[in-house]
Amino acid sequence: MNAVAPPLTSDKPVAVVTLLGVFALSLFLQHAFNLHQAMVFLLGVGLGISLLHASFGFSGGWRQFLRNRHSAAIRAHLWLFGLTSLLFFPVLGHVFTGVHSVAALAPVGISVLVGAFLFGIGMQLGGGCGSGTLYTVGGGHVRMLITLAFFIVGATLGSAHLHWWLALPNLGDVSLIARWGWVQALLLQLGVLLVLYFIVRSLERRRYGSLVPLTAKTPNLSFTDRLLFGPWPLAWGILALALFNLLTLLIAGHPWTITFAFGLWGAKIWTALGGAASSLPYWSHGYPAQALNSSVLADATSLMDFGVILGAVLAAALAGSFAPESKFKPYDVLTAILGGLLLGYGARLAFGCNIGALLAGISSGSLHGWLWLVAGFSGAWVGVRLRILFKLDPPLGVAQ
Amino acid sequence: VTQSRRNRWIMGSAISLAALATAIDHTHHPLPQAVVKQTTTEQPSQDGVSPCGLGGDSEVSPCGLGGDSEDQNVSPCSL
Repeated sequence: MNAVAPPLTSDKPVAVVTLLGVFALSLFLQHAFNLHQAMVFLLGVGLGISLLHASFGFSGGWRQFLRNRHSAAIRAHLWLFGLTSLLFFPVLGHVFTGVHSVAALAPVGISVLVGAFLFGIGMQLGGGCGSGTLYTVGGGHVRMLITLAFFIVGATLGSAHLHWWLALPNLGDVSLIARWGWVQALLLQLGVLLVLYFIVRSLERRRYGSLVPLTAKTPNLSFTDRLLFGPWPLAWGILALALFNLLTLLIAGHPWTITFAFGLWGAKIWTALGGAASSLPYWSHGYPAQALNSSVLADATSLMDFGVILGAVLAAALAGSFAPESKFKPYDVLTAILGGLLLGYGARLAFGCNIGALLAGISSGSLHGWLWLVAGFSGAWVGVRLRILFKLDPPLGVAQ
Repeated sequence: VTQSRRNRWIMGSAISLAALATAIDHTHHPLPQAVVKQTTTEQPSQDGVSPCGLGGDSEVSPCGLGGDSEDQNVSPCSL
């Protein structure tokens, strides 16, 4: 029998303060708004804990594959896409009468193509994707604060230009569920995911002769300690994220989304500084106008983002890894700024980030999610090479 | 250890600043003003519909475009 290692020393003061903060904000939301707002916030907390404990990111995983053909993270993403599709398609296909949830649909067009490509570059330069930026900020990584700040700036700029991009050619919304019915669309989608899974799997196996399993656990911990203090194997992350995504769809009424809030925060700050964000087409009507003219705590996306950050703070404190030491390289600040701007602007053009457009789009059977995947991955390929240019990474073929 | 402590201070300050900004923004708006329509949370119990969703009339959900079309239903997913 293997000896069970003790967990790392938790950062108790940070954990207690964060837990109290989560509890207090939940009560406040329930009191000031309703139970729905409190639950949406708590879903974000759950997602933040899952992301941090499983280290479930997209940018690093894609980089590992592009540089070294390590496919564990990409296989985890494909599993997540498949599992959430399996859970979402029947709901969005109206199998359960009485459950009214909306899909993440968006036009398939040039704005998605360009936006996701820019986002792919940005996630490599900035060091995080939409979810990754939030949970690493929660984990106390100071550089990611810079990325997040310019993510917000980029998203705000993108919202100012979006009307121009929307005027470019597009096919409109393309829902696979509406076209073929949820069963056929699901089978087709799972088939494509399976093909992709075997391609990346075989590429890693061809190079190394074996695969890193998604259930790999290090160090050796008891189940309870691992659950509370982490680290989780990727398989746990997949299951937890799929579950919280389903709960988000059912409770919030729409799939998990992140980056709308960044533009909203930027527009609110701009307005507070004397700008006229409400005069822009994007912020002048519909949901954006209502969100701009309401409390930020009324916006479900903002609440979930706050929840993800606080959940990650809590998880990092429990793991004893909050605010780790960090060494800045010469180009770190510059690439964080540039990456953040590309992330924000790209996400706005692409109707979301790797969560709101990629995961939510694919899980909703929207073709724009698949276009996002192709364009975003192409952008990441460029971004990986730019990282070498900026001396963030060694040349290809040299171990990191 | 010193660098880690400095990072903790930076993170603590950033989160406190964000909390302050949120409080200022919140107090600038009348309450309660949830973005989700009151009807979408109350109607289901009256109509026998699940309280989970936003309903078909999701003009105030962030999962849509909110683009140029006036009559387009919007929600935050694709925003």
